[in-house]
Amino acid sequence: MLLLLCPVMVHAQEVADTVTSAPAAPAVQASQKQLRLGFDISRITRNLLSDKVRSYEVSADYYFKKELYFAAEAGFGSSTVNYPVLRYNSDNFFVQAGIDKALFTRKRPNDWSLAFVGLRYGVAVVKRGAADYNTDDGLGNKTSGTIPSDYFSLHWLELAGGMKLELFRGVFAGWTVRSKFALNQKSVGDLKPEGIAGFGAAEKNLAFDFNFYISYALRWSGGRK
Amino acid sequence: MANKQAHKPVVITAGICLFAFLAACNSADNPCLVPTLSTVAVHCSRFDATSNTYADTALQNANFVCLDIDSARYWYYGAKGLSNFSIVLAPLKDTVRWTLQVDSGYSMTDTLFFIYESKLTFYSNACGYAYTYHLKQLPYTRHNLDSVAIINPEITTKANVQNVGIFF
Repeated sequence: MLLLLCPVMVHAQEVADTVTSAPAAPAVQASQKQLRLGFDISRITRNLLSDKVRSYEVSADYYFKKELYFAAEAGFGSSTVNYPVLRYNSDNFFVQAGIDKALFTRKRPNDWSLAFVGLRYGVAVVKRGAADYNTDDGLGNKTSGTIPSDYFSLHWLELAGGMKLELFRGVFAGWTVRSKFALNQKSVGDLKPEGIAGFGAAEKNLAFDFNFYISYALRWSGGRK
Repeated sequence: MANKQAHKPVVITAGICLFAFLAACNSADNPCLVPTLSTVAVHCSRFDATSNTYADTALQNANFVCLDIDSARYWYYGAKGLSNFSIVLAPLKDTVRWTLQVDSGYSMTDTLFFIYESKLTFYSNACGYAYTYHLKQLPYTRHNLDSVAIINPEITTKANVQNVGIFF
């Protein structure tokens, strides 16, 4: 995955090198405020590909200063476990918030495209429905039963990186790769949903995710020029 | 990000490649690949007077018969050359009797009473639940046996664990 970032970074570095050979320009001062709202279109495709996991996700980021953005994502989803020996559904929603730091300093005040790295804290609340199970030891000893429904929350820290490119005025496309580290994975218990929106499979402490956002930026004047 | 036009193909291509990669990783149902049947590992030993120790003993023609689980009744009927047996318990009972005839040709039959607690144990979404056991007591008759010992009372699917020792 890092290899895919390399051409972008190298190219951007070349641009930066070219610029730095000129007399040093002062960092651009924000003369506009920007709030960018996005929708993860990759979820739609993934929802179509999977009959077990559904999720929807939106994002927002707000330019603070010095190439720092406040960023947040939220979403909801569901997953189904449907094996002959075990069946249950779960519903969930999540929010996560943190910061993004642009990798390169903007040279023009109206250039809002960026490559970034970010840090997030996330929490998901999951409702697991009642789980029906069957056991069969192959010796004629068959049992069945139901595990009552349950709620739990999952907390995680996330490292993110990606790009957002302004395709048209105010319209962005960009991807984000994420690695997530669950802080309380034991709270999930035995019955782990195969997908939690915002986190992924709850089977392990570590999860990876990918988003492809289409975003729209709201801009207004403010601050000093 | 000054050269916006130059970046467009890069960001779009990289995004499509990443998405295709992750979409390809979208796994189908996982099969259950671990054993879920917990068995009691029984090991047979005979006292060797010359070395004054118990030595592994392969039973030449044994009948190890379950009286309470019909489908397991003849698992070890006429078993030849075995010193280790894996026997089963029943999840909805708390006692199961197994009889052991060391040599079906001439020896008397002893009965072992496995008294246990069943515990529902989770394995995975694909494997679901199955039963493990805690062996509480193991009374036995002594027509042909010297003694029987519970070595590890936790009856699970773990390999290389010895649960019960039978001594002649």
